[in-house]
Amino acid sequence: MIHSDTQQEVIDTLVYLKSLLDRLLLRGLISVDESELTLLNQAQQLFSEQEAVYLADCLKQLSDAIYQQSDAAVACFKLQTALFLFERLFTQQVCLESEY
Amino acid sequence: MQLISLDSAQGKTLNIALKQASTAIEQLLQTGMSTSSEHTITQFSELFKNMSSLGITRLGSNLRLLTQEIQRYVKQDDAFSARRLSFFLNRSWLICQGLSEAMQRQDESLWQSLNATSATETLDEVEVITLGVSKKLVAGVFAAFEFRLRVLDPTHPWGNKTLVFSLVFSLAGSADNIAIHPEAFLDFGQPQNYSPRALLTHSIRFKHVTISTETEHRARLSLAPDSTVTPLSQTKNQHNLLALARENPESVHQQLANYQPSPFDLEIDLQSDIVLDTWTMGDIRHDAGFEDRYVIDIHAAGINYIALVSSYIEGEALLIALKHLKKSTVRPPLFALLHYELGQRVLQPLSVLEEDGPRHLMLGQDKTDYHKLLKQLR
Repeated sequence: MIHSDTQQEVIDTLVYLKSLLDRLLLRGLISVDESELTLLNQAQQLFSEQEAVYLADCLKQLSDAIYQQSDAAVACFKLQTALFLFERLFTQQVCLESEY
Repeated sequence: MQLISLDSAQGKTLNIALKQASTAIEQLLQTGMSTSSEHTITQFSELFKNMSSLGITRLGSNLRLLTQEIQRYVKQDDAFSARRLSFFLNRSWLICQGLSEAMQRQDESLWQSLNATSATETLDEVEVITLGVSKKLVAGVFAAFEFRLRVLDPTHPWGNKTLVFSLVFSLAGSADNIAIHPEAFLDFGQPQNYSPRALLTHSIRFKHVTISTETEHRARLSLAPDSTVTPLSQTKNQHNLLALARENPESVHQQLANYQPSPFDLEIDLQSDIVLDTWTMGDIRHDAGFEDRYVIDIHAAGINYIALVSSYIEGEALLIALKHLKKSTVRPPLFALLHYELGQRVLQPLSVLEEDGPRHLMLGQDKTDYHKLLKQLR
């Protein structure tokens, strides 16, 4: 369950991450810089706090893969998929809650 | 298509092809699009042909669309979309992984979910009315119209559900100086000897059509060469329009509550047609989550929605119509498509249901300069 006071922060982070992944596709994963890695780590912390374990793990896998320059593309696709599924479930929860 | 054994000759060939496709996709992501070239287009085009020849049509179709997007990037075509490229790259990679896993585990259910096509049936005859039309325009590529139809007889097996009928017109090869306005296509005669505009002005009898089920609540209607399309009475004489359009709120709630997302979904797969009887709207604004679109807050019956309007030319008519409706003191019931995204209820407004029938908000005037067009074509 995502707490209502962090819903906007979750949405902003989802938007940022989706946009980052689209941009990385154009630039290539070899172009990721330190500031983007810091933001990936911050996002990982946010989703860990919200108990979105799989998504947080995928964020960590991508950061690690970029540092180690190994299988970053696979980690990126896994993260993209995890983000999509998380957004679907998060949206379902928020919209169902707002019905009452 | 039957699940293939990994040990068979066909399975071995497919497994190699899937690995080749996955590797090519991963390499593209690793290095970025700036390294792509004519060679990349050829490489992905071959992958698409290879997969299609093996009968893996869903993956083949995704690879074809991915190749088109890479081609747009390489040729610096204005129609290139990073979002679309990202989507087809991810989707193609995911299907490759799924098919490999299905073969390794001999998982029939996973295999079928990645290969199955929609269930279809043939209808001898169905009478419908159009409640709304959406318009999609990609300059120089295509203009598309999607008609949301309702069966006139509520006891019909497809009564109270949505039938979607699409028309796509190619804009490829049309020079910029021979500009045909998208709405003009609605007056172009079709092979089944009808004009698409009739779907806006009259209820229609379709004969010999194919229905492809998309969800429990929605199906796609397609025409065959021997289908017929016959206008019946004028739309303005359809007295139960609002009753035909009105959704069942419990059904909309159940669709949301029962939703179980799959990585192969689209945001709009969970979609309902709804009618807002009494509604208010806010000012036009921007939202970082919905790039290239204007956002308008809409409130009805205690629920908040946002309406999205494309900031490109395809959204021009809708934006004008909504601005007029905001100024208006009386707003007719709004017919819209509802989906859910980024924690919000998102509307695609299609029409307002007036006493003399639906007024289609996405359709503008046909601004084609026919005099100039005829001179150029001579």
